[in-house]
Amino acid sequence: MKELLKTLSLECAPSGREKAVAQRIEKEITPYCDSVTYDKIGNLIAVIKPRKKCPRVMVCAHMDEVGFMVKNINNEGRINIVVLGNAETRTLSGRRVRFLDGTVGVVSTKPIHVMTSNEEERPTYEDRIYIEIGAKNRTEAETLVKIGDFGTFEPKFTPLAGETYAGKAIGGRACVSSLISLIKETHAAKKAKTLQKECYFVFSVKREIVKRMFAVETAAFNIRPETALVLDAFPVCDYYPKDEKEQEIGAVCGNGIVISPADSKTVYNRTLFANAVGLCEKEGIAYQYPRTASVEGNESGAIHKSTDGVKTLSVCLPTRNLHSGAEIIKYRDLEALTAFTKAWLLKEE
Amino acid sequence: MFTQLKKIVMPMGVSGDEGDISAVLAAEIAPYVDKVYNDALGNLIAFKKGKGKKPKKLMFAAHMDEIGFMASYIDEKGFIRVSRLGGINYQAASFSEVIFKNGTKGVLVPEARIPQRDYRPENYYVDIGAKSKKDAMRRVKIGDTCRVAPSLFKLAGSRVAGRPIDDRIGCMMLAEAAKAAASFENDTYFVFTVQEEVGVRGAKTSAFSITPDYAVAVDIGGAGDMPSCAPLAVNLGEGIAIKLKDAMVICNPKMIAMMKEIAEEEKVPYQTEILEGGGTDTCMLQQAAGGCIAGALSVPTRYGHSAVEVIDMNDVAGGIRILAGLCQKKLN
Repeated sequence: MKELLKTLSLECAPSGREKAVAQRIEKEITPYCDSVTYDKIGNLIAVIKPRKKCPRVMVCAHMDEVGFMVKNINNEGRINIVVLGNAETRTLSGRRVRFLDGTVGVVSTKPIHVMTSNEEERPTYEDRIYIEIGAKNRTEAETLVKIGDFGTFEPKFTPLAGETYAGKAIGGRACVSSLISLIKETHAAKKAKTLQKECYFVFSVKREIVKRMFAVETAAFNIRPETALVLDAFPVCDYYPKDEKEQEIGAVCGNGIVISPADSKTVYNRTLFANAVGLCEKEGIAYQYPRTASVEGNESGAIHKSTDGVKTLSVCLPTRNLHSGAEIIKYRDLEALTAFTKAWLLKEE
Repeated sequence: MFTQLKKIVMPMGVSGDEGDISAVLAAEIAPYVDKVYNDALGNLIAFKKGKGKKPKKLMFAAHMDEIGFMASYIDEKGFIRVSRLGGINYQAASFSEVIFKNGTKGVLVPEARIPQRDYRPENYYVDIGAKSKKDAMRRVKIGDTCRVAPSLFKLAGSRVAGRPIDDRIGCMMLAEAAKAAASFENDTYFVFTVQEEVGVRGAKTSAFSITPDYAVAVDIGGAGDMPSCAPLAVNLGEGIAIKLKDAMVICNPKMIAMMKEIAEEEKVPYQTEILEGGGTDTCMLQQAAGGCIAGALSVPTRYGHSAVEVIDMNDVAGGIRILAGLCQKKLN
């Protein structure tokens, strides 16, 4: 799975342009699925069903990542961008970026030496950052980049000590790799005739760019599952361990999967939540709770309210520096996530 | 009617954890309808078949959830941090008795060194009297819900105070309308919705599955007759309020006219309400699936989302007659 994680994290898939990673996933899962299709908005949907009629379950992870889009090229050949997704401009500054066609650039802003104290304290407005691609004027820049082009942080996969991995979009892609491994296990269960559920695996698009409406809603609407499981990265803030305030959302990298009773968009199904905790205890899977139920919600918010309601659970992978060019995960958390999804889908009644 | 309301006010039902109140309401309404069931999110739906050929579908919705808290962290000394579910007025909830679903009692208090003007949700904790983390964890688990203690008491005349009148009063009105209706001319659905307080979630899924032709939400509204309050042309005791608009919906003129007409036929006093802040299930009823003709009745209420919400039972009685009138009216 480490190789797969690396491969997936090196693919660039800013919200709205997920093709590269989608094709990679499609290639990986097709031999194991009854069908693999795209819906009209671009969600990739894989199905594995037993012969007899069974309860319908949907498991999803999003495949897009935070990126940007070119909105203007000025006379000096500098490129203004719109950030796609919830990224703070300070995490962009000084970063190497890559456009989807391969052109590279660097996000530039005013150096700290000439900032006023007011500017030092505040994040830079999106309008004041630009990408430098080395072009001397607009005409030259336009030979390389056009308005509307997409890009992401420069892809780089860095193994750190203690089976820790850093890279762009690594939290989200780790969830994707976990879902791929679940598909393979589900295929094996079908072959062994032990599969008791109609399984719909959704790799969703455009998760990062919307605050209220998630693209995955269309998939949930069409699938109409009875139960849904959402995998996503969880924002970890575990530096300054002595300062309680810094730890408000409270999950720690390396302490296992994050299971929430509620977040800002969903109050999770109480039975699914209690059973998930019970399952972790039974299987010896490391898990933790976030410290508050006010954490920004994920795609569950759309899924549980779709059609006439879907019983929904979310398990998340603790991720440091979420939405930056170097997110960090611990491999043992990813193993816990994979073990959980397998036990949840294939062992539980 | 006070005793009846008390029976419906007391059971627990914090958003997402409405099992207790759902069971009480199911028993309450079952004798008057054909079928009672819960959907995937927990909405309680009571269905009464209408007379005649191809009757229209009429849906009533009152939310059975209440604002409350969820245990999210237990510290070394056994103090419990709680996250809010719904629009908690922390000023009103400070230093009050809270009760968990399993009966464990505690007190909700702010951290001592925070000046009152700086009170924020994360500065609050619940003290259940536990001696240690272990002791606390025996009594309360992460994800358990709690709420400010319920109560209901009589004030002067026909007025009552307590919590959660929001929106158990609406639930009672639905149940009473089902009892009072002389006939059901339409396929009528009495829906006790879940998770209204965290973002009108249950109304969306129940309206999707029912796909009503007409829908009416019943919820608390505002009142504009207290000292030094924001202007609002709604006075306690001057009749049930027919909603024209709130922050999330503009009510259908056909529904507004129909409810006014019934009120006049029944000689029920009524007012109209334009609520600038806050939304109700109405917005989701109007938009879910293919959309429908939707409106709402608001019970004029003082001090909403506090432990001393105040209403006038005469307004409530009038509202029940309008709801029963809608049941008896052949819609087309």
